Amino acid sequence: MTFRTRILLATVPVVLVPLVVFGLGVRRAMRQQIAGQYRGRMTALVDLIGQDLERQGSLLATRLARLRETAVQDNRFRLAAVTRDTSQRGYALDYAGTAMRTAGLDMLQIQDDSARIISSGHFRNEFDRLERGMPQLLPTAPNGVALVQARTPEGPFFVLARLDSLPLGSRRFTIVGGFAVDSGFLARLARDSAVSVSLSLPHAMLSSRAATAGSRDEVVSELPVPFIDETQPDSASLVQARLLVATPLTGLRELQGTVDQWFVIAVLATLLVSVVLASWLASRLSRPLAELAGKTAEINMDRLDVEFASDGTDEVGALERLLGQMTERLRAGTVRLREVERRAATGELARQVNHDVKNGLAPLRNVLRHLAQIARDRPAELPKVFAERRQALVSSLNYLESLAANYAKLSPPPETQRCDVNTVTRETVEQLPMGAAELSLELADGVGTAKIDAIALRRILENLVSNAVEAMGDQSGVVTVSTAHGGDEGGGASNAIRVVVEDTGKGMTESELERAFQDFHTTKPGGVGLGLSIVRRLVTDAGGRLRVETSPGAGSRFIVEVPAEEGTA
Amino acid sequence: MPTNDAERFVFRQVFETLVRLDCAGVVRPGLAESWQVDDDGRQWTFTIRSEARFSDGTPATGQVIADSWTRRVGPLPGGTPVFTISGRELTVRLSQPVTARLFAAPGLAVTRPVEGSDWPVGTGAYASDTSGGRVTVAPFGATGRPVLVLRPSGGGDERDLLDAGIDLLVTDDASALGYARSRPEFTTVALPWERRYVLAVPGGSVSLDSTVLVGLARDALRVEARPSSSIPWWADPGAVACGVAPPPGAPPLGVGTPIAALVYPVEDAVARDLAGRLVALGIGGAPRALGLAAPDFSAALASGRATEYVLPLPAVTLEACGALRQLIARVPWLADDAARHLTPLVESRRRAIVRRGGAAFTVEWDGTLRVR
Repeated sequence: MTFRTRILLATVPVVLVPLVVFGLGVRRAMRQQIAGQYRGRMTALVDLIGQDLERQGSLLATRLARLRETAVQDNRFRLAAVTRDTSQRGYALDYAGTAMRTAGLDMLQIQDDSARIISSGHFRNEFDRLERGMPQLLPTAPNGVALVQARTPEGPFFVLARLDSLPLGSRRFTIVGGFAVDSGFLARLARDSAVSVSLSLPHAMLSSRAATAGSRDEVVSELPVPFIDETQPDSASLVQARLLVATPLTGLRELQGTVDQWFVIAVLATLLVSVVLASWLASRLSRPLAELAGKTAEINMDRLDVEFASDGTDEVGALERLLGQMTERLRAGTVRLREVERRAATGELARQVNHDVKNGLAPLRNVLRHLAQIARDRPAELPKVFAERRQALVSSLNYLESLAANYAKLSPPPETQRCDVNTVTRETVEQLPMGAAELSLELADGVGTAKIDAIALRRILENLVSNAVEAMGDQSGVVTVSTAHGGDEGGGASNAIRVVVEDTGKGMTESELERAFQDFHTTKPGGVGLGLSIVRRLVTDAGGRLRVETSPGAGSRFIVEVPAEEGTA
Repeated sequence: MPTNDAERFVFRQVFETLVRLDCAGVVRPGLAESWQVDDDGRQWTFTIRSEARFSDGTPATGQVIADSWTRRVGPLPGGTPVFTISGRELTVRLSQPVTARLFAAPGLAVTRPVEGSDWPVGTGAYASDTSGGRVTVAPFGATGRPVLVLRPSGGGDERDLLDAGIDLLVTDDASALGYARSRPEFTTVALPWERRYVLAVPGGSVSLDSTVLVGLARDALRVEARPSSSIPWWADPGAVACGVAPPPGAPPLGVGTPIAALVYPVEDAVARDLAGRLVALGIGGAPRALGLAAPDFSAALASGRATEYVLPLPAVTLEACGALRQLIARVPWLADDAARHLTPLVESRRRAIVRRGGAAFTVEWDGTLRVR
């Protein structure tokens, strides 16, 4: 797992977990608050409905009391009801209808002491019917008020009814009056159009509003209401009806859904932001480390020209500077190591030469000693013996010459050569084939002499310029070769001479650049892949540095820095 | 043919029959000033009034009268008439004997079409005018008769009409009648029993005892009514004798959605009270009453898809077969046996409230008033 992934995985939970906990808490509190307010509102509404029903009952009582007083004073009605005067029968039959309309009632029924209807306002021609239910049951209802299913010629209807007594003569009549309970009445009880009030009866259901497709009311409360079904011939007891208060909970559900929706949106947004933030942070932290690791991976004994330069004040900057210092120490150590190696090799070679020379001199010494002996002892034979031993002398001398020639081939030049950089550069570059490319030679004045063999510098330039020309292929372009004094670009204080070969060719990717310095890597048909590798080795051997600046499509820039001769300005 | 009270009133003023029938059933001269019957009622010779003219001035000759009958009247109960015209005398020859009452039937009123007008002209003392949004019946010629203006009550308080100066009000409204009795400038006159309410039961019948009928007439209604006890006109001579058959294309009995109710014409207060009382008593088995406006009532009645109906019919008719034919045209399912399906309930009548010193009226056999 990469450092970046770890940062990412660590940051997201750190941001997300507290937010989710906070959000869940807020959501729970809001849901409880909304549901609580909703319940409170419904409870208040149910209380109001109960109070309304009580008010209706009181209003009924008041109106029935007035009707009773009026009926008691009406002599024609008294004649019809008490003395059963047939001439007043029509008046009595119409009496309840007139009284009902005058009192603003929807139902009025006057019955005699045997429960026979003598006048009905809502069903004028229902006279003489025995109806015992209401006179018996209504007084037993709580508060004397009950829901009654009464009859009209057109069918049954519901009323909120109350009973009063009407004493006439020695008889006691009953007056039952009521207000119609229809959808309008229930809607007035509901008050709020979002709330429906329904009447649930044993065999019927009456609602304040028509059911609409797709909306489902949920009963939130109910009130018991005593019920008498007058349409049934023997309604002997009060039945319990229920007044249902219902409301569609879609509003509440939608509100809660909206809270949930925004909660999820907040979590997702936070998750997204935290991921982006963590990615940015991880990238910002890991990129310098990755670059540092990349540079460090490039370091080996042949490649110690990697730069670690940082102005950063943080830990990564300090690490990079430490790596730079370490590389410098490695570079110096490498030079010393190579010097030791060279000296060791020289000593070994000297011993070998000593041994070989001694081996070559031994026959010579023997021949000369033999010749001296002959000359002393047998001078006359000297020419003959010399002729016989001459070949041995020649062979030994040939051996020594051959040995010298062979060692000459093995031994490096004892001293590093110097060369005038501008001269070597001009002579080398001007003789190179440029193909379609244009050569631009920018040699700074007074660059001076560098501590590098002219042949090495020549080979460096030949390789770099040839690569530059080939990088442009058949396209026209410019190959710029420049020299300058100063190790760091921009005129640093280090004592070095800089030779730069720059082209406008296709440039290289990072991976291409990395492979370009490997031995035997080539992109050219017929190439052996040692060009840049040799260049690096020659520069390194000269104690210099090689840097490359390149990017795909923008050309390449090879910067060679070699040590300047002391005293070179 | 007139279909409501206002049309019947106008019809009576504008058109004449050869003879009239007064409220006592006595045959009186009409367009004919005299008549003679021969061959046991098969041949009738009418002498037309000498001054008889249509309102457009055309003389009412025997030929015009014959043309009117030929144009508008189907076969008479006595058979297809054969006319003989001689001056002012019109002889009508029938294959079956008839009485003079037949010639007072509204269907035999004499009319003459007028080119360019929807309304024919008559030989009565008045001509109708419906221009200006109201019905005016004006006398033509120097007869000294008043101009008649008809005002529908419109369902409002009829006492307002009396206070507004109306001279004649035909009503059964108890409040209006009581109010008129309390006003000395008005007098009230009972009109003939003109309407009979029946209980019509598709595919069945209901019989009611006299107690129920008396109770209906006495207590259930708020108009002047009596139990219907005489043999009704649709039972004598009966559909078979009259040769009445359902009209072609009549709907079969019970077609359409059944109506479990006692149906009545909603604008008829008497029918409404009767329906209410019958439902209260549980007679007929209908669980409830249902008032329908005229077109819906007619459609429901024709189909016979309701449990039962309260149906108002004329109390009397001068031509039973003609009336039965009209009834079965409205109610095809009565064709098999009208007498079985129709149970008479009550007969009602109205009263005329007449301003004293105003126009003089005579009461005709069917309860309509005619300016004298």
